[in-house]
Amino acid sequence: MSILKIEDLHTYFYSKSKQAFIRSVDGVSLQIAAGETLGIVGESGSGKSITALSIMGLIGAEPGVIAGKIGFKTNGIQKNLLQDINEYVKLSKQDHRIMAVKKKAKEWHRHTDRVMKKIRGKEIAMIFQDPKASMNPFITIGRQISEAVRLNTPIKNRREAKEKALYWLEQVKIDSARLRFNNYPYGLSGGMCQRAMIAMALASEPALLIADEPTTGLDATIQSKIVDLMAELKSVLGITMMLISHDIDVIKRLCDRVAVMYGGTVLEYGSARDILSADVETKFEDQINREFLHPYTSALLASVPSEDHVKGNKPLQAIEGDVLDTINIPRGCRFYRRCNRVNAAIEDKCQTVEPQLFQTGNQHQIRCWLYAA
Amino acid sequence: MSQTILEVVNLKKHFSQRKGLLSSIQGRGDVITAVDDISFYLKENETMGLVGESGCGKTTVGKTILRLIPPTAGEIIYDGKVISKMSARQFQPMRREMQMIFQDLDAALNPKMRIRTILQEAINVHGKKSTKEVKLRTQDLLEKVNLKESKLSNFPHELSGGEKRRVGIARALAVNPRILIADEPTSALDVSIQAQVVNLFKDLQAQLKLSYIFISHDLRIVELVSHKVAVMYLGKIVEMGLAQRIASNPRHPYTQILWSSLVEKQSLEANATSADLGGDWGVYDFERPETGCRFAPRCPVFIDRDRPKICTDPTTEPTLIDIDNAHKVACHYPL
Repeated sequence: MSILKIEDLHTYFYSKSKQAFIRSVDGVSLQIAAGETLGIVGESGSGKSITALSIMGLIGAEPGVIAGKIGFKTNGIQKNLLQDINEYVKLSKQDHRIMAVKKKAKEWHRHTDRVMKKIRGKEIAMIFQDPKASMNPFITIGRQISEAVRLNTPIKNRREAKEKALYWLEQVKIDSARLRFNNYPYGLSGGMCQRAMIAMALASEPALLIADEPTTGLDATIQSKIVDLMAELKSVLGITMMLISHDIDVIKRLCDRVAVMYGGTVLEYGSARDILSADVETKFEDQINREFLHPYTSALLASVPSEDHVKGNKPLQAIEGDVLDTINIPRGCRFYRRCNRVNAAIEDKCQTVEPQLFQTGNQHQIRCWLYAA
Repeated sequence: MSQTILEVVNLKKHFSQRKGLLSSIQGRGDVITAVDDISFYLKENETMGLVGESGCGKTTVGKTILRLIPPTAGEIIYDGKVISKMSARQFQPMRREMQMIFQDLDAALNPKMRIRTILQEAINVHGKKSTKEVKLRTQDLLEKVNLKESKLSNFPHELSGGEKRRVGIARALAVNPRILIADEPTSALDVSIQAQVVNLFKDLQAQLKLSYIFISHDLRIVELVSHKVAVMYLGKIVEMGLAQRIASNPRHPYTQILWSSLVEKQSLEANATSADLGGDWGVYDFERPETGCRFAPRCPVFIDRDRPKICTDPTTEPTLIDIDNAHKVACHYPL
């Protein structure tokens, strides 16, 4: 049963200097089932974080979220977090492409805030990339966590909330939690701070946890500790999680399903085992053999330094060119210009028509003309 | 046989930190030993990787070598000359031959200058050149780092992370250096772009016979580009040797932990928590433990062996000892 179902989500921004839309999220559809961890991989600028922020209703800039459906289910009640969006947004399209947007921004913000009030932080919690920046530097971590407890759970009593906060600090393996309770965020190391952040998110006992690059910017030793912690929390508490990372190794370890994003869309979607499994890497050394993957995914996997590269002293396989500029999205396939598996038979199509997600296996979808049935 | 181009002997760098008014009046304060007595050498056309957790003094080593910050003690010998004792005037011509690529290029590139101006400035800084020369040189640099000419008129913020990195490299190359000190050149880059940059570093080395000091906390990348690796822990080198040997056969407990904590390795190994030693990894003071080996409080060997005295005895702090063919370890009980 899926907890979250995103359909055809569009989040755009407007660049004044370029007089054009930045199509950050351009038709993303995803699903997360209860108890499952969905990983979102992609390079920077591929729209991973914007997708997460759109779910949370935290997009402040204009035009922001303009189309789509975000179905969210808790306690048996199904809700569309973007309900009545059509009343606030008028789109004019040309060849299925959104060319102009009219949005009643103020009214829309008031409307989403009303819808999200009981969900944001409470039902869907988020861990941000930079833990130090997302905590209040003037308030002790203990108070910040107990505040989350009192706001989002039935516990309203201060003392009980403190006990609960201590419980969560212990859950995330912070040593001498009672002492740390009175620490300010600056007094904690990066890894500790990230743990406190996780504790804070969990303290609201959310139905869905969104973790945006939880390990980026931490040292290798601490990174692996945080990943260990998340793996443990996942198995012990059975949290449903959406994990955003550009670190394929982290995704590989924690996720059940993976969506590979590029230039605002999902290029490949399927189980983590099918897409990233270690077997695939050892069995098929060069990417030509990774034929059952999207060319982008296989190129991405090949560019991760592995032991083979060190031992064999072979050069890393870089993907030529740069990350797609989401202002000028080409007509055809978004990855066409960097793709190394285009062949003559499909080249025309690649250039002119954007492929849809083709079903290639059991719940494995690939957005590439190579896999057109 | 290639020649030693840079030698660092017993380099020390202490920062003093004052706390409150009283200590500043009394002239007392805490001393942070960022770099504590390290020595190594770098040969021509060779890459030396410097790894360690954040705060272990990697960047400080780089900056001290370039004399961007003065060393507290020790010598830096470049091409047979002791540069750490030179006057600024004497050192000036040598500045050209050592360049640094900074970690945060958003901060290192002037946001109000176009890329063209940034490169021109670098080309002209050691002696003005004619407009034509500058133009040729700019083009040459762009070619070397694979940057499109159309980007010249852009401002730094208009470039992607990989492109900015290339500009940083081009700027460092502008003066024909012999040594490049690259401080975390691949952090904050996407994997596909990271691979491009790593390959670029390798190509440039082959082409221009550069020597690198490659500072990074990304172990895989260091392993990949370096000939030899020095592992630093709280201001000291704890292990040094050929890159492959250190990666495949680490002898210092810290190095082993560092390497086994690679997430990729863990996901492949059945025993995913092999690096789990208990204890508190996140927090430690940069002020070194009072006595003995500075890694002892986190060391698994130390605990396994029932806390031997030698590890905490202040008179027997382990020094780098050659244990196997230029593989040096600073540990009483190497693995």
